[in-house]
Amino acid sequence: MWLIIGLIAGAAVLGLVVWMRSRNIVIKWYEGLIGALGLVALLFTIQNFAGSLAELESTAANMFLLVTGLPALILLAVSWQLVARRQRAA
Amino acid sequence: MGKFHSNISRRDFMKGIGLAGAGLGAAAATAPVFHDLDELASSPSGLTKQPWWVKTVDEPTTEVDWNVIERFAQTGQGYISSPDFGQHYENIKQAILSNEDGNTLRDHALFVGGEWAMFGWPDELAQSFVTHPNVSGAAYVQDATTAKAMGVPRWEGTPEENLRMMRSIISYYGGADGGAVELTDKTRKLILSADYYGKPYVFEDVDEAYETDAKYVIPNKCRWIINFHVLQNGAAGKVLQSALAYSAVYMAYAHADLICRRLQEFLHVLGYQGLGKNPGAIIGYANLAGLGEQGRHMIEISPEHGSLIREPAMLITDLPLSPTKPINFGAHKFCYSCGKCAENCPGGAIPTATDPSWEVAGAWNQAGTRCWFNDRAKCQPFGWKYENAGGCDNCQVVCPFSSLDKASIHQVVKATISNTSIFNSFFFAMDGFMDYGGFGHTAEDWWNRDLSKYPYDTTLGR
Repeated sequence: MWLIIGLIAGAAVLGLVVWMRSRNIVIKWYEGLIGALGLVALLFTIQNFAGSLAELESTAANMFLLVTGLPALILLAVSWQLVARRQRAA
Repeated sequence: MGKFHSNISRRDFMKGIGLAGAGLGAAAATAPVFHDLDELASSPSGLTKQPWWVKTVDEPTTEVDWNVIERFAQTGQGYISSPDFGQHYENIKQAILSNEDGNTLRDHALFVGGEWAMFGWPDELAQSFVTHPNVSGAAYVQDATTAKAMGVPRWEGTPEENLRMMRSIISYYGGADGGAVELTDKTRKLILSADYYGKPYVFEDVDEAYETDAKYVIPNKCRWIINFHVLQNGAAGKVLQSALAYSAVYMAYAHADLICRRLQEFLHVLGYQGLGKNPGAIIGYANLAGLGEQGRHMIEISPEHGSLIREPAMLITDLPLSPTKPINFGAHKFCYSCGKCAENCPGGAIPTATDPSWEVAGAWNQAGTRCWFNDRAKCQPFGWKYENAGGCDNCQVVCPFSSLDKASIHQVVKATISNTSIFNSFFFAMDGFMDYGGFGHTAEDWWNRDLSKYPYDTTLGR
């Protein structure tokens, strides 16, 4: 499973980088850092959600979606918006 | 909204959504629909999950002619060639003497231990002190296959090699981990002075251990303890105070007897003694050997298995072993802030005080350690099913260290606890917030668990 997730994540990041370069979109270091943290948090959420279900701890699984999943999405959204708004302003 | 340009036309976008929707609908229509759990349990997909490349068929791949097949009598089909056991033992002996790879003395000992109970289990050998007490006067076929009986040199290894060998065989026979303690004037104090019925354990200058009606005799030359974990199933235990939870306890006890017996046979063939079962303070020796730390519940907490350990079983042996050192991974310290086992003890047998004490709770405790002495009189009615139908292993299951370790967060928390105690209260609170440890689980959850995650409940307790 993690091989496939890794392939998807790697392909997505590569695709994003190629797409941004084709549009001459430059990202600041803090935008990249926030995005990377968001991605790590998302992967952490997925692993712990699936792992908690495997441990028969369904409440813990749902809590991970809330406690780490939501912040992960927020971080990714913040990173996206920082880049998008800077591009619009330019 | 800013300008946004896409290469996909509106027509193509709507077409894509339509196709995706149709695909989902088709998948839902063809997927099996279960109206209740009986239907699920009886369907083919309720059975063991096969890899995707396995096809289910109506007929086996071996052709069968049912017109030819008749019921078969096994009579006389056991040994179809006349076995010569004398030659068999001679073959074993010669292989040992020539150091044949895979047929050395310890390989042979592994076999003898592993086949234990294949042909039944004599009652007198249950939890026996010596390997073959010969209480009934019976002759044990295993006695013919020892190094001594075959006239081959017994196993000789360095203490480090011996410990490595014992860890390997413990793992093979169904135990986990493995540690060793040398019996010194101090550590001998953890050997029992008498068993449950008052029969004393005494040390004497004799060559072989023996047991009489009056005493158990441990040779002074038996100077080492070998101990290891017998694990207890954690998934079944999550249904607190149930027959499922209690089955995990007693299945583990049965495994413990089997594993100890196998080890005794193994040592016996090698030319050494293994005195069991558990003639000492098993938690104390486990702490000394570095198998774990003692928790508030007075049982062992292991870094890997948490409190899901039925017992850190032990044998006394004369096989020289390299002692293993105690460990510290923050578990005992965590107990100061936690107390979850005490909160969930139905009998109130576990102290709730923050700090441990030197003061024992009753005659069932051995004085001389600073811990949270439990009140066994309050535990036993629940642990031994007087007060409820299902028995109790709450303290083991609710312990925050008893996670089944499939979610990565547990390793992060354990690593942090091991290095600093400043987050202990936070972790205890989070454990409750995340509802870990057995609350709200039903038996149906366990009966319908994903078997690919729990393919078989072996003596490894998973």
